[in-house]
Amino acid sequence: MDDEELVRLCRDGDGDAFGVLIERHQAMLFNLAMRIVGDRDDAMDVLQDAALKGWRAIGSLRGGAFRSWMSSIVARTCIDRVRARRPVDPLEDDEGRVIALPDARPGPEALALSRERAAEVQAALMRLGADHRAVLLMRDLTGLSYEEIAAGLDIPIGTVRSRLARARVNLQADLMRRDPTILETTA
Amino acid sequence: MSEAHLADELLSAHVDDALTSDESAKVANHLFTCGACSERVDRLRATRRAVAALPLEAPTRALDLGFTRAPRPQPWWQRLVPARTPSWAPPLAAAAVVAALAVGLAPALLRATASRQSAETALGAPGRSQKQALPAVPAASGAPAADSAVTNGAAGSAARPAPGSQFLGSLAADSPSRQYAADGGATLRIETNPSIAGTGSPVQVALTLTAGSTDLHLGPQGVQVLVRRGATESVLVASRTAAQVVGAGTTLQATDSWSAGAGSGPPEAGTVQLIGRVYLANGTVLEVSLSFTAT
Repeated sequence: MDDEELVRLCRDGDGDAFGVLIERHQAMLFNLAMRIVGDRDDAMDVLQDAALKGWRAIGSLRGGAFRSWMSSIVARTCIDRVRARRPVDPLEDDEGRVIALPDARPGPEALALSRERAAEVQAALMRLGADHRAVLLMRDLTGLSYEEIAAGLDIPIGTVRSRLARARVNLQADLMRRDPTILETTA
Repeated sequence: MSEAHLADELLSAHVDDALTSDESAKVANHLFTCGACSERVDRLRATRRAVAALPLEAPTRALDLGFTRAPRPQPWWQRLVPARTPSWAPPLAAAAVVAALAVGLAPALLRATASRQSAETALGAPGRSQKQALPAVPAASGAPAADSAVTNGAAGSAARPAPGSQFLGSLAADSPSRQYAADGGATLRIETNPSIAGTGSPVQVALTLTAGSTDLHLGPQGVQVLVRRGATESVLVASRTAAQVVGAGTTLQATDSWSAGAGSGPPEAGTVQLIGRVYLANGTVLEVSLSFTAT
């Protein structure tokens, strides 16, 4: 059964259909959340929150664009959560960079070299502002279009474009400064 | 190279094939002659690949989807309008309700006093209230015990959620409802279930703003229902229609459901509050809140 049919069942109150949709997209949603909030446990909490929001709001979803729609709910929940950690965010400059924010907690991945690099990229992501990080990950990790990101975050497409460019340039500069080999290996 | 280098925004969108045809032609022409910008494009592509190459990880635990078995609450805007309103009409219908709604209260930050006496006095004032029923909120509006401490029979014992929920305790509201009585007979009331057991038991929250003898002009931030944990606030419901007017004697209501502990881990005693907040156009902020004690 495709997403559109499952969404239709959800609108009729079918909780099992919602469970199938969540299970189908859970890995992608979890990784999006984890990369935005920078913590596995927080990401699971976000996912739990977002699932409840999604269930309550699914009556407004038309068509089968569950993946992009739910990704947007997850991203918005992540942004709220990151902002709630720092109710006043004096460290974020007008270009979306966060100054002197501690690195994301390294997980077990820090044990292997390739995982070290992943941790380095994650740490650099966490030094971006949450708004910029969310747009970047929605595009480059989840593969959403500019239009889907704009609709999901309720921002103009021009803002998506500018945030994405700023996020990429800042991320690239950060990685070049800390470990240029990361970009060399992906070039 | 005669022309200036291209903006990051153009190059980033070029990497995504997200340029208009005019932009695309401009970028292609420039890159043909500009090695520096071509290198920038390569670096942007490498950055994009570095993000895309992040290892995918498996979720660390199963989600609790028990809420799908409970009746799904209607979005709050649907509660503002008659049941026969077409489903496509929420913004229009809500706007129509609030369009019937107009000058404000003393400029100051006003906080709830939880005084039943003032609440009852205020409730009796407007003669043409159009207050709607609050479905699924068991706490009776204006009931005699409304502002006394309430811990109903379920608190701390019954209605425990299944294992796997994030929050396995219970929260007892210090009152099932609180109401702030403002100048001119306006009232702001927040209500919820008196006892909340665990993440798997979402409860109804209702915020009701009733204008008194004068119209209330809302500011752009409108009406919000929030959860405060310590110093952190998160918004559950926010009206997004700017410049609403709540007409004299009429009512605006926001409802939603809330799961204690969902998304934030187990609440700590004394740190959880449900807050109803109204931003008026004259800068006044009306606020009413309910506190919870973990049991």
